[in-house]
Amino acid sequence: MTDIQLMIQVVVSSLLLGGVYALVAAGFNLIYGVMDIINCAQADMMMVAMYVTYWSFSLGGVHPLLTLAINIPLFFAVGILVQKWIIDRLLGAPLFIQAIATIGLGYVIQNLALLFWKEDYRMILIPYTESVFKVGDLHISLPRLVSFAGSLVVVATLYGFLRKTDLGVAIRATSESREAASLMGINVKRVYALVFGIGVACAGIAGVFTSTFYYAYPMVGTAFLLKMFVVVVVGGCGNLLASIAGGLTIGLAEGVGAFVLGASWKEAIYQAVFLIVLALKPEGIFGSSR
Amino acid sequence: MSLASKKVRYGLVAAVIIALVVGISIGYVIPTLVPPPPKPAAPTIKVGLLWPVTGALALIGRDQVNAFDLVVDEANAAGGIKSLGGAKIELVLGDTKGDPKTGAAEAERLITEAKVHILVGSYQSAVTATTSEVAERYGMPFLNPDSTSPALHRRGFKWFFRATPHDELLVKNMVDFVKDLEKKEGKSFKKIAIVYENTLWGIDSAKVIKDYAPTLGFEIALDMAYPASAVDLSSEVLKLKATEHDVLMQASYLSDAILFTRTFKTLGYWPKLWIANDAGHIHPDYLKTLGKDAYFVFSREVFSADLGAKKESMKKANDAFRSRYGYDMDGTMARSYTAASLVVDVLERAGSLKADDIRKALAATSWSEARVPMPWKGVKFDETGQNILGLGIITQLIDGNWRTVWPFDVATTPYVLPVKPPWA
Repeated sequence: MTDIQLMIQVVVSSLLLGGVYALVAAGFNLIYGVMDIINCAQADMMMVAMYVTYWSFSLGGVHPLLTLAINIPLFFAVGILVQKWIIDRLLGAPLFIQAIATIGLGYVIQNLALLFWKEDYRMILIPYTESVFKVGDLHISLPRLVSFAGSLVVVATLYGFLRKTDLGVAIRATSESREAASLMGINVKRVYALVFGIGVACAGIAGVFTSTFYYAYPMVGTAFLLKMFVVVVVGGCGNLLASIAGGLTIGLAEGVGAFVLGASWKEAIYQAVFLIVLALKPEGIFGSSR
Repeated sequence: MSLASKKVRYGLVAAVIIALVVGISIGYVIPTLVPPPPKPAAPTIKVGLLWPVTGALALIGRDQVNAFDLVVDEANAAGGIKSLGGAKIELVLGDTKGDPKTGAAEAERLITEAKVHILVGSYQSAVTATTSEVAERYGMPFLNPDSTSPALHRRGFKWFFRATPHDELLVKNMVDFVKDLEKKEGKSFKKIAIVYENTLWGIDSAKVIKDYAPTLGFEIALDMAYPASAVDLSSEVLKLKATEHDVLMQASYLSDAILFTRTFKTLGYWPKLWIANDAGHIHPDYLKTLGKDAYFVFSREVFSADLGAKKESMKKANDAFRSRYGYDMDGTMARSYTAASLVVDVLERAGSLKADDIRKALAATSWSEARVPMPWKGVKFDETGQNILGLGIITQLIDGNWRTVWPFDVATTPYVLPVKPPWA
């Protein structure tokens, strides 16, 4: 492989990963954009989704991608319940209180996972998750490509839903002003339940995709949580398309940076990108000041 | 309920509590008041063991005590320590609970109250650090079978002796192995790529390789630290692909070891010679998760049960252990067994129960390769108390089993090289 071919490979691998970052961040971003809630348990919900995918496969022989049919409704419902029982009580509370509550929820989920499933690393190994195809000298992992494409489709669909449907308009109206929306006859509580459900369902989908190329273990969420924050802030808070831009930017910064400057710089590089974006365009690459 | 009967009830409860408190205190006090039983004719030698026999490491600690006990029972049955008139050895157990502070307190108790003659322990390097410090303070011989932090023998202690090779030596073995391999294969493996997780352990072991390998004529082609919590290691593996090298030396914990190996496959990278630094790669979950894709990696190790086939003293030790406890020894138990044999020998040579004489006998230890039930060249302590004849081994994952392949004279199975990617 020549240097140029290697560089192309680095870029492709980084972008494929960035797509998944985008999806993980999208659900979080939607919830934040509409409800002003920082759901720190988002990554842990994704962890549970990875386990659901793993167990469906190992106990029921279900192909990981088919688990989407289980995870989407399941996590949507979980989201609605969490909103009803926990989040609803926190609306209007100080940001700090909300964050502590969702961090606490995350810890509970992690520890339940530890209790039930132990700290073992679990991975789905089937021909699909193993398959790699070559384009010229380029190695492309099939599950990563599918995850990338799937993530973009999900985020785009969500974007379209918010733009084109009445419900989407209601959601956007609520995110503009809770009071005004409620005066216009929008049931704000319903909208919140719906948004939280959709946001958590995104974690459910991300869990399915992630488990086709990464292993599930109780603390896997922490590996994604910080990245999720950075992706959202770099892209722009509250904007779904921005999550894609943020995800790809961070994936690229991390991958190319690690290759060019050295792997020990990996974390520093994406944090540096984060700081640069904050300094030059605090509202994020795609963000507009609200 | 009337007021009077209530009072009676309170009185009863109070009486019971007082009785309990008094009873428990007496239970504690009386044994120390009662004079010790008269001494038997031949003196009893007390050996203090400091291991974690309760708590998270209890299973490991108990296995170590079992291995030690086995040797002592044999020695006692064979007539005790002859130079001391057939004195029997008695083991006094101190439970460190795996905690440095508890360990230190237990060491103090064994020395001042149980009046032991020698101390042995304590598995974790952090605990050994404190227990041996207490021993040093009291001038008590301390034999450490099993802690590998290089710092331990560099404290200038007079009473500390360590039988096991430490991390530095074990890591150097990885380089020595490549040197031996070059001779045997008649090939050059000059360029080494080192990849390691970026915390204390990874950095320290990489430093050993970086300092040592060039003195044997090797070249460090790539020096790459990475965060063990990484979600993706594609760039790291591509960097390996982009750098010409003959050997990959890797220090990884479990999850990152698994991710690396999977990314090798995804990106079509395969090292010519791949040596892992223990830890993640030898964890059972590594093999369980990766199956065939993990095959043929080499790793450094301290012991492997298959070695008995090669060395009589190891076979004898493992057979004895197996017939009494029903399973094979691992490296930790084998080192405990070795320490017990050392203690018996040292006492025999000391011919006295004075701390100074026992220390002198320890320092004068000189065991041959055939005698030591470990894959070592023998036992001989330098002035810092470190055994300089200790040796690690290199194992290879051959068709699903870890086999000893180096040093070549103790190898049970010939190594497999060159290795094609398992997925090819």
